[in-house]
Amino acid sequence: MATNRDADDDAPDRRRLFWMLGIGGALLVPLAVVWWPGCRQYPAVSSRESLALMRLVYSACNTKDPARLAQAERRLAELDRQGKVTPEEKAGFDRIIGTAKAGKWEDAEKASFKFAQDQVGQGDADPDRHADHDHHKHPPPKKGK
Amino acid sequence: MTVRDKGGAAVAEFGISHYVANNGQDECWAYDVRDQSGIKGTGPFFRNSRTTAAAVTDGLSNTAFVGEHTSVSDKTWVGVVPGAEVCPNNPAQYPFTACDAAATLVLCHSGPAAAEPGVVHPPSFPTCHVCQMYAPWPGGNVLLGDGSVRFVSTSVNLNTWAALSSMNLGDLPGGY
Repeated sequence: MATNRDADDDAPDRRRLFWMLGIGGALLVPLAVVWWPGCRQYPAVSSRESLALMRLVYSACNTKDPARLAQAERRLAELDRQGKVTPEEKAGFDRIIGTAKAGKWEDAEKASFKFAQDQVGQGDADPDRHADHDHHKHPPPKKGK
Repeated sequence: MTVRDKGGAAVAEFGISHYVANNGQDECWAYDVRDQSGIKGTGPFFRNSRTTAAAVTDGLSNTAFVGEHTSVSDKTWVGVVPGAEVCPNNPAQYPFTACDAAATLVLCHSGPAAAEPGVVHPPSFPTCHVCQMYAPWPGGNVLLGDGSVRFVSTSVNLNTWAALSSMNLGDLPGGY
C-alpha cells in the first residue's frame, strides 16, 4: 500500500521526467520545421540536365561570373524548349538568375545553394542510373592532354 | 565494401576508405578510350601516374592530393577493378546521382570538366556525384601535396577550389 512518504519520494522523478519531455519537445519542434518537406522552397528537379544546370548556376553565383551566368541563362532557355524543366523549376532558376543579374550575387549564391539542398532526400528520380554517366560522352582527348 | 560490376554482380570484397585521390579538374575516366593510361590528369593521380614533386608546378602547398568521400558511395584504397562500377549508396537521398566508372573507386575530380564547362564541385556540395569529394558536414578535410591538411569549406570560392585541384595549370589559389 502506497504511503504519503512514497508519493513524496516519487515527486522529484516526475518533475525530472516532466522537464525532460518539455526540453525534448522544444528541441523537436525546430528540427521538424527544418526537415519537414513542406519547408522546401524549391521543387525537386525533373531531369539530370536540370540538376547540372543548378550546379552551373551555383558556380556562376559563387564566382560572381557574368559569363557563367549568361551560359546558365542560355542553358535554361534550351532546357525549357526541350521540356526538361518544369514551370516551377524554371521559375526558381529565373528568380536566382534575376537576383544575380541585379548584382545581388551573395543572395543568389545562397538561393542556389538552397535549391541544391532542397534536392536532398527527394527520392530516387533517376530512370536509368546504370546508363553511361553524363560525362562519358567525350571523344578521346588530344595527345598530350 | 563490395565492389560490383555493371550488372550488379559482386566482383571483390575490399576494405573501405573514406578518402579519394585527386584526379584534377577534368575526369580522365570520362574519355571513350580503351587504355586510359595515356590520359594525364591535371591533378596528381591518374592511371599509372608517377607524379614527381617537380611536376607539381603550381606548388605542393597549392595542390590538393587527397580528400574526403563518404556517405554518397563506398571507396577503397585497394585499387581499381576493371569493369567495376561505383553507384550511390542511397539513391533516394541523392536524386539523379548516376553510377560512375571503376576509376572512381579511388579517384575524384572537382571540375570544370570537359562535359560540364563552368561547373566546379566544392567539397560536400549537397547534390554531389560519386566522383566528387563529399562528407556529411559543410566542407572537407583536404591533404595538400606538402603534407598539410586544410579544411576547405563548401562555400569556398570555386575558382580557388579549381585552382587547388590542379597541379600544373598556373592557377594559384590565393587565400582561402
